[in-house]
This record gives sequence, structure tokens and C-alpha cells, in this order.
Amino acid sequence: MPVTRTAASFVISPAVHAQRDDRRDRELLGRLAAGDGGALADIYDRHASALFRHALALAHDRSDAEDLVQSAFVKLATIGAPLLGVRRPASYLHRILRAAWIDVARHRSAAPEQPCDGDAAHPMSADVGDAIDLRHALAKLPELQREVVVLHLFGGFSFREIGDVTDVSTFTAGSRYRLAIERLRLLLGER
Amino acid sequence: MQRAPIEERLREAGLPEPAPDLRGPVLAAARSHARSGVTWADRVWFSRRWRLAAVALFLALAVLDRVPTVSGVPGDQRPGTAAAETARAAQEAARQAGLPPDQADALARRVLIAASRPAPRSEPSIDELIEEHR
Repeated sequence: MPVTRTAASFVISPAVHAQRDDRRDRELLGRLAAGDGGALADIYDRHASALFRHALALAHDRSDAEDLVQSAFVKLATIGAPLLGVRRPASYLHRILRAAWIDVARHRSAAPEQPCDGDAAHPMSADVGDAIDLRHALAKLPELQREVVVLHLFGGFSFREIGDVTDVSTFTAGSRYRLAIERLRLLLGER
Repeated sequence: MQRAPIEERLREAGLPEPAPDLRGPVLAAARSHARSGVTWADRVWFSRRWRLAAVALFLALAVLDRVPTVSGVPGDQRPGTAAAETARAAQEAARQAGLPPDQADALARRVLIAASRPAPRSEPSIDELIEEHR
């Protein structure tokens, strides 16, 4: 049955969104600010997967993505008292990760966009069949578009939140997403 | 094929999870850099709840401070500082003119009394002036 193009396709995945609990996250950040190391482990358990997927969207290597996650948590641990004022913890964590990625890109002084087709080099290449095609297509997207797709589809972020994370307007975030989906359709030969 | 199926297929395809053995090194590195301790000033400055409480306290104090002024004697009926200044100036001028201290004090009191009287509503009429001089 054909599915019409509606605003519903932009709705946050309920399953992913249900995992977000800002109040609990704010409490954990408050504990971390007060020096409770256990809070750091809880934050990791709640957000490491999403942060790692975001890192994979930005970096092109699994080990680079892991380094980014570690950098983000080290930075988080050093912030201290300002954590008390964080209103949207999930967005805040992803902003930290993105800042770490920008730092790495600056230090390397290299062009950040390096599309890669090979299974051996890219982390999104483990599965078979349709999943391989999809992950390869996703890997071929410009990183800013890929980032929006990953944050929206796999992180459950709204376009407003993505705009907050990536320092662009809500419209720009939505526009990047639309372009990414159009490009994926082209890459997969569905248009 | 429309947009929704691609999104659904992407979700189903999923993305890799972090390696299980990443947790230990990440937490160890983070804990080695951890800052501890939150001061009272930090809580006031960074916590929204504390900031709201501080603002509420400030407003409450401001309101309490204003209540006596609002409910008390209006400002234009209270003894004015200008009258007191004038009385002191008159007293000082009387002393410098050589008047005895008791007369200088009396002059200052008269200035204060005159200042505390309500201002005349209008100029006296000629009839009133004539009546006054009879």
C-alpha cells in the first residue's frame, strides 16, 4: 500500500522519544555537578548509544566516533556547576559532542567530508541486503544532512532540537532533512 | 516509492551500537577530569529554581519595603526636607546677624511652622485685606 507524503513522516519516533526523560537527566547532571561520579555512569548508560550514533554520523571511522564519545564525556565531567542550569540535557550532550568534533576537525585541518563506499572502512556496513544499501546510501550523504537524519530518526530529536544542537534554525534543520531524504531516494534508485 | 518507507527502512536497518568495552575507559577518563563541589553561589547563579526563588525573595522584600510608603502619609504632606533646610539657613543667618541664640531658634521654628501650613488657595481679595487691617 503506497504511503502518502505527509507531515507524519517527520514525526519523532515514539519509541525513541519515550526514552527521553529530561527531569531524570537534569537530576543526573545536578548530581554530576555536585561531584557524584555515579551520575556519570548513569548518564553514559542513558545516552551513550545516541551519542555514538551521532558521532558515527560526523566521523567516518568507528574508532574516531568512540574518541568523540570519550571527549564528550570528559568535557561533561569538567563542566561542573554550569550543569545546574541545563534545561535540555539530551540536546546539551549532543552539543558537547558536536563541539568535540569541531575541535578535532580544526586540529586535523582537513576537509571533514570524506564519503566512503567500502565496507571495510565504514562502520555502517555490517548487515546484509537492504540494510547495506541503506547504510551505504546514508554514508554517501553530506555529513550535515546525515547528521540531521541520524538525530531525527535514531535520536528522536525534533527539528527545533536539531537546530539547537547544530546551531542552525529549525527551518534549516528541516530543510537539510528533506534534502537528505530526497538524496537517499535518488541513491537508492527510487525516483 | 514514497518518503515514509525509506525512513522506516532506515530505522529497521539501525545503526551500530558502541562497543561494550567502551564504557569503562570512557568513564575512567571522565572521572579523572571530574570537577566536584557546588557552592551556594553556584546554585543561585546556575539553577533556575534557585534564581526564581531569589527573584521571588527580592520582589517580596521590595513589596514589603514599599508598603509603608504607599499606605502612609502622602509625600507632599510629610515635613519636607526643603523646609528644614530653610529653617536651618534662617537660624544660621540670624546668628550671623548677631541675634541671640534663643531668637534665632524662634525664627527657625516660625519658618518650620509657616512651611507646615497649607498654601493659600488664592490671593486674598481687597475686602479681606481691608478687613484684616481693621
